[in-house]
Amino acid sequence: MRDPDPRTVQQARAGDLRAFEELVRLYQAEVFRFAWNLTRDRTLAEDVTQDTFLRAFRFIHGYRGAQRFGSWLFAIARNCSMDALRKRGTVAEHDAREARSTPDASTRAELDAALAAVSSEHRDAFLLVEVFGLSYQEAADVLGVAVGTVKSRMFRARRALCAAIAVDDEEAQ
Amino acid sequence: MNCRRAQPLLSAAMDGAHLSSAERRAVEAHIANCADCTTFERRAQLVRTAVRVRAAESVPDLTDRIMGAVARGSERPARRSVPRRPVRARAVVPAIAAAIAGLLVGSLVVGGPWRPHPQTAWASEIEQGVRRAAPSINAFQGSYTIMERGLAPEVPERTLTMDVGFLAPQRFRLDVHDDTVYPSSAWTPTNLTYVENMPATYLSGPSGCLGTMRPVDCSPDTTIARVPYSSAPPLPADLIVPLATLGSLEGVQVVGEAQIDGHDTVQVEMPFSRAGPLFPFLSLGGTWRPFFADDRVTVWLDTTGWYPVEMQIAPSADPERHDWEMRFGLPREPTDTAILDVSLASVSDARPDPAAFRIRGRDVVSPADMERAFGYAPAEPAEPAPLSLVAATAPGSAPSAPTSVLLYADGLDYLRVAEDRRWSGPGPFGSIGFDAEQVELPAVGPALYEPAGDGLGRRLAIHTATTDLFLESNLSRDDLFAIASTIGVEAAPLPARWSVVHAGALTAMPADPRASLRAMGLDVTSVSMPEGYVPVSATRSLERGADVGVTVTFRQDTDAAGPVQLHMGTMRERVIDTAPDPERVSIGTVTGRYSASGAELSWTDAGRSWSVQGDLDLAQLVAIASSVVGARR
Repeated sequence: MRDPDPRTVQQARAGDLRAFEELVRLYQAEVFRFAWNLTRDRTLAEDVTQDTFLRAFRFIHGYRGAQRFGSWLFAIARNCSMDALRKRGTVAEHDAREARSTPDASTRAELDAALAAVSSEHRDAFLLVEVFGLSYQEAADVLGVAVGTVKSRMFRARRALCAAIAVDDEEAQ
Repeated sequence: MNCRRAQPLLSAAMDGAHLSSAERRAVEAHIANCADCTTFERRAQLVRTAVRVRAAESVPDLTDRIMGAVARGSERPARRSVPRRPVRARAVVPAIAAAIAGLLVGSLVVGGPWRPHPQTAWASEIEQGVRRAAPSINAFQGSYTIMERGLAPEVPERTLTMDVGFLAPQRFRLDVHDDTVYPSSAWTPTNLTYVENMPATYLSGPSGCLGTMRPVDCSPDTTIARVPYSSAPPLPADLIVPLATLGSLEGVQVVGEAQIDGHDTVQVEMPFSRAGPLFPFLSLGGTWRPFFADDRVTVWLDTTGWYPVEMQIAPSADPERHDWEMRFGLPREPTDTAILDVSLASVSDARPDPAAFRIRGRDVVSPADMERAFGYAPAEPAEPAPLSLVAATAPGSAPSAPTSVLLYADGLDYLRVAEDRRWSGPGPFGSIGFDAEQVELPAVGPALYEPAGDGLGRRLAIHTATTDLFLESNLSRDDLFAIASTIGVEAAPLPARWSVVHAGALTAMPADPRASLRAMGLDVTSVSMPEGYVPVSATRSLERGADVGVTVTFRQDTDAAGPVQLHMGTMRERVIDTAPDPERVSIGTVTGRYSASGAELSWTDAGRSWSVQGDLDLAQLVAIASSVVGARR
């Protein structure tokens, strides 16, 4: 994730809508992708993205740079996703179309199923680190947990996913 | 080493976590003979490939939708003056809860043990020294050594060099070169280049990468940003003359005199929260250790040139810092050892090479050509002296930019006049807050004024029938007003909708400060404010049409200090106790609660909740509270 110009954040904190718009442009794709990964629903992910920035705008005066801006935003996006899923009354479902669209459909489908089967805590850590490339410290900031917790959740998620692709892997060997 | 220990380490290593050399050797030795771990490693790589190589999801552009929702009135960000006391536990709506969260964090930084201190003879000397030095400087070159301790256990100490250059008018450059020898290639050196050739800025650094600790994902010197326009002051300016930090010594303690490397210096101390502009490199990207609002900053200032010769940050002993350390799993650091030391190695007033400030694509309009380039004649102060026009630009068609910006400068002193001919936002054009003071500019009319803060200089917003202006400057309030008064526009009254904030069922609107005091059963003379404070603005808050509170903001006429806010609210139910560290304080016949971190004293009296908040010491807050309690008897 990129860092914004610190002064853009300062201006947005002072209530400058234009500066905030710059932040929206800079981060909306990452936030949408993250929300999509958590909700597996395009419409919901769009709503979550909008809600994330609305909340970010309300809260931005409290953002003091103790963590990276992207981590801060992801933490909000994660809360918004949880709220949206809770409101809808379902958890994220595996999307079959997604599975068909990838080159290695079988592996992909198994991974999706395995990812849906691990706890959301493990899945979120895995998404942040493996898919979005955050460092352990950044993921810890997003999840509000210690770095060591991210490390162990990553390992557990990874172990579950490795087990899920075991059949494919053995066939290939 | 066994599989149970090896696999978590393998997993961590895949994610760029650092293993000690002993761990690495043990894991490698184990895998060489373990089929299970080899399989785990291979499958983990397959998983990585499968999740990363996927059909790219099309990402919708939601900018308009998001900004439309943000602009629909109810979502202006929380400001300090949004009334907090009327909020009752049961009635908390998310927006208000958010506002309170913002208020709390905001006020934490104001607090801390640094209170106005009895100033020595040096105080006025410093204030006037930096004020006088700013316009007189036309060129500056400084080289510094930066020593940082405690970034990570594997990197206990780092050394970096920094070069700062300035060339009038308004050209700045800051380079950081990281000389640290890192334990592995997983560490990205913090090499930064920042160029500001107003109004454009250019920044390159190592943090534009996907995952900061993975250099494989990006080239080490990724351009982060070229910003066509920013209304913030030039970043490195305080290293040349610390006008933003030491133009007013509020919250700064003068310690004494010292000889440092042949420089006669005066030593001052302040909390880190107040010293931000002295460490501009920390916010430019790269990797830096964390610092905390109440960490103690010591600056040795050359008493001839008024530039910092040495700056140190030492950890504070504050419990708040300890909580942070716990949260981030950091070790306790001794308070007597500097964790950052910036030391001036050489300084000169020779002119740097102008080519060093060149920014490609910088779009400057010649003053003779402004009307054609902008499509209108921009509002210009008729008498900007001693400043003069040095650059004009149309920052581009981006909706996040004004339609024109004029830059005036004299040495380090500057004034920017941004204009927008199509402003239709929900509030004033420019970075000006909800609690801005309404002022009357001679020959112009009503304007909004906000003192320096939030990293910005003094600001004025002027609204006319045809255009909106935003002025930002490091000049004194009087000088800024004098120049702004010659700008030759006729200001229109500010649209009422700009000043009304809706947050859930709560509505906040501006009110006349003196009438608001009367509504509190008080008048200006009955409130024992410290010397020089006058009521400048007030906010009335309503919940479903019923009055629930009123807040009056006092400011010092010299605007050297932060605001003091007096709030009275109805108290239909128990108020939420937001203070993390309340202390019971006696205010005449009533008992109040004092929060040092919120710099706030609150009490209830005759069915009303009251609070006074501001960067004053407890005795001053108690004096104000006592006068309020007494006046209403």
